[in-house]
Amino acid sequence: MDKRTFLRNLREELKRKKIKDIETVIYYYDELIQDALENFENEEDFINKLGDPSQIVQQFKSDEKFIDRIKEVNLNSIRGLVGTSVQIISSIIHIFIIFVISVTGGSIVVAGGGIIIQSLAYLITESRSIPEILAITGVLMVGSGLVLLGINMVKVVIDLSNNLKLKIIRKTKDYLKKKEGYENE
Amino acid sequence: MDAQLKKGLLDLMVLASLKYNDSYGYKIIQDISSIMDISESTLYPILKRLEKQTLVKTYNATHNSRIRKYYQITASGNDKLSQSNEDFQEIKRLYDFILR
Repeated sequence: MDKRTFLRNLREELKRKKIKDIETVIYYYDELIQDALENFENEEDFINKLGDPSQIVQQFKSDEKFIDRIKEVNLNSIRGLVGTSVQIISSIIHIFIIFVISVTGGSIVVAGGGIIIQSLAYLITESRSIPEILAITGVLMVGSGLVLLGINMVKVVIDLSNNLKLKIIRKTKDYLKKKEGYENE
Repeated sequence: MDAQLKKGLLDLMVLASLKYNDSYGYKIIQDISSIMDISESTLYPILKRLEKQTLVKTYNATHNSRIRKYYQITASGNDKLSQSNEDFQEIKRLYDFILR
């Protein structure tokens, strides 16, 4: 089988089994084959090694199931291992941190926006001399910088939110465990 | 090796293969396959999963006038690797008991 036939078959199989991100999968295999050819592998042999498209898709499916199972186990074990108190405390800390950072980020955006509007108003209302215009442009830049900074702060918090939560759960658990250990001694 | 155990370790193997250098699909398989059996269709779901968990991030770079997708380990990915070191110590302790 050559690359084109393989990719075509794979695409059909992915569609048939309703796998998400078909393009990403095709792109992945296309790149693999190109890299293999560049590494002087034989096209036909390499594609045979990749396996039949239906087997590949089957493997994706079973992996999805495997992940779902793991997720379930993890959830159960988090529920089991981590007591309610840990979960509540962690959630409170989690929400608090996100709240503080989001509010700070939001205020910075608003402050930056204010600076931009004010300096624009200053520029527009009267004709200004060149040094003045330069100075106001600088202020405008500072305002835009603040807006971007604030937006990014909020974005980072949202991106890291899940990891942060797990980390806080772990830290809270460790802390409580330690405390419990001392009490038992 | 037990399939479940192997599946769990493969994620870490892929992460570890990115520890010092960014890499791409074909290279990752080459690096890992010398010590552990891994197929191209096994790697794809792992990479996708690691990306989803933000343990790795991806970027595109041109190579020989085509685009290649590179994988880079993130700070949380590195955290995960060091965490696995602790897990390994624990597993070792258990195996010392099993195999005594």
